[in-house]
Amino acid sequence: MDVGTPELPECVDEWKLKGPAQRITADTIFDYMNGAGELYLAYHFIDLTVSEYGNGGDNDILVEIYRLKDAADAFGLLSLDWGGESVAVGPSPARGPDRRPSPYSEVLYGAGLLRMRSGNLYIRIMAVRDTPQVKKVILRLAHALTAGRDNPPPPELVRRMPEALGAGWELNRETIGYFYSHLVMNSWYYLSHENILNLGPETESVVAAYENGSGTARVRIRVLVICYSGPREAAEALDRFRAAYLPGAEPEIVGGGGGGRMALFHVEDGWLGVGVAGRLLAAFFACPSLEAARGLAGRFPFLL
Amino acid sequence: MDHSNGVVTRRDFIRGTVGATLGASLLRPEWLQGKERGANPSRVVIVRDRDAIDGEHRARPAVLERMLRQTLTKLTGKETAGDAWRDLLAPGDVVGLVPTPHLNPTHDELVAAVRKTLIAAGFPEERIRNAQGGPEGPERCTALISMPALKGHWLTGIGTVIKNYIMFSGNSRGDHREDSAKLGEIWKLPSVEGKTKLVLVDALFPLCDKGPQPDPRYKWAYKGLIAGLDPVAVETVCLKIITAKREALKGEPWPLSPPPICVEAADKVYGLGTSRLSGIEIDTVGWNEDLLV
Repeated sequence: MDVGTPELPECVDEWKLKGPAQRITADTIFDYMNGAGELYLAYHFIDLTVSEYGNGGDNDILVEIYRLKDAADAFGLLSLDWGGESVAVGPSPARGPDRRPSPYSEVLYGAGLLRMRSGNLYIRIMAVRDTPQVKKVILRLAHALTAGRDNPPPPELVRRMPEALGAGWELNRETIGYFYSHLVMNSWYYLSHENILNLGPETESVVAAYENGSGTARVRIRVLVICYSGPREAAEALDRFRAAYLPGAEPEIVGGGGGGRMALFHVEDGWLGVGVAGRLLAAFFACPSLEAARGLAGRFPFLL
Repeated sequence: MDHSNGVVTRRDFIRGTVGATLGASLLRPEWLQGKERGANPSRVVIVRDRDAIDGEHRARPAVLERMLRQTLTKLTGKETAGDAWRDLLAPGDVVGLVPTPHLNPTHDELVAAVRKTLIAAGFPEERIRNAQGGPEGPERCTALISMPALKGHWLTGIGTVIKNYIMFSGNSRGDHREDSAKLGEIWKLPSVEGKTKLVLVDALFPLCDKGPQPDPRYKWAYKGLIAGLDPVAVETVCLKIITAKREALKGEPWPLSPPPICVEAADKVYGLGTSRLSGIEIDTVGWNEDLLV
């Protein structure tokens, strides 16, 4: 649901709006931020409202309010980086269908930059310099922007990612990313600059790290799950991926749960598993051994 | 097994076959294997000064000008900055300065220092231009000074030297996307090739993560200038610094993603310089705490 762009207060403490807001559209986003515009277009960008607050000195505060198609897009943008201090400014945290609070932060602050999601809005508030006073002002601005609105839960595909995949593999929540575009996926886990998985505006996707062990013995694999519009589209994507990423390679086939099958390949950074079940494509990368890969493939398709 | 299906992938990056795969897919082989400048192509100078920026990250012009003079004389072996500029440039050159305007932009103070020392060296003010922007920027210049700021980039891994000419192609959106491995191609355009006389990186307050918008958590006061005549060598040193800073921040390897395949391609496909750190001679001047190379 589009909640619209909220009104900003005229002033917070001695920081006052410096002038009318600037409205950026898909036609002008590259003028405003050059190549960074690709990121927002990849999350169903509607428009951006840019405002500036000044306090008569040189520590201005920039407020960017990105309006997107829906709340999942805002979650995806926030998921680009889960780092920073998780702070509470809204009325209540998002809750899932089971009414349990979402385990994912909704507002993150660090070094003078606040990033947050609120409904279909993704908001960045950034000061030139971080000070305790400016942090208070930024948090008050964030509160004003979210007042009276509850956040919807994270996207269903994110909520369905298993906490564990057996044999010691556990989800690291701070690595979970939600996206539609291969360009965005590459910023977490690079596969190719070309779109070898047929990703697009309608292909909901999640990538996450699962870890095994601790300290210097910790091993990390990446799990990728993509939801296509139908089984045919998922099968076509698998064919394209294999042609581009695994040309001529012969797999070992392992049957998983629910009749799903996964093809295992040994490549430069370990074992890779990939398979299709209905309209889902799932893959894992950089698995350290065939035995571990077989175990993971036995859990395929992960989300069922 | 034949891996060269023309699509550059993660596997190519791990195998070190980006150049071979990309080269096989190119339609313009005559662009390959050129050279920007012959003399000392793989020497990089790093000049740092702990007073280059103040506690609020503002550049100090006088310190910056001194650092620039040190950079120029160290790089060329000349006595003065004026002699250095006259060694690098021809008397009648129309000089295009190419700073970076977006995402951790080049400090205006550095651009001003370059302009000031050029004028003092006898290059007329009216023949010193800002060449950043579209394809017409390099067309109206006979010499280019590339002046990017040190930063990562969410589409190209590193967004410093090789990417600094992206606007010259007239197709920056395409070059950011699938073609980012081919950024070196821009350096081979007739309006660009052979014109770059100095690469001067603003590493005063770099950004070690990819953006796409500035996040102050990933900026740090390196307080340096990094310069050379070989763009790929300068980029390779920049990459080393960013990689080391990222690892220091996380306490574990934190590789750039996407990997900066444009750097290897600039070397192995386009012949713009060397991307092997072992083949680069690094000279340092000044403050050497947390040098990261």
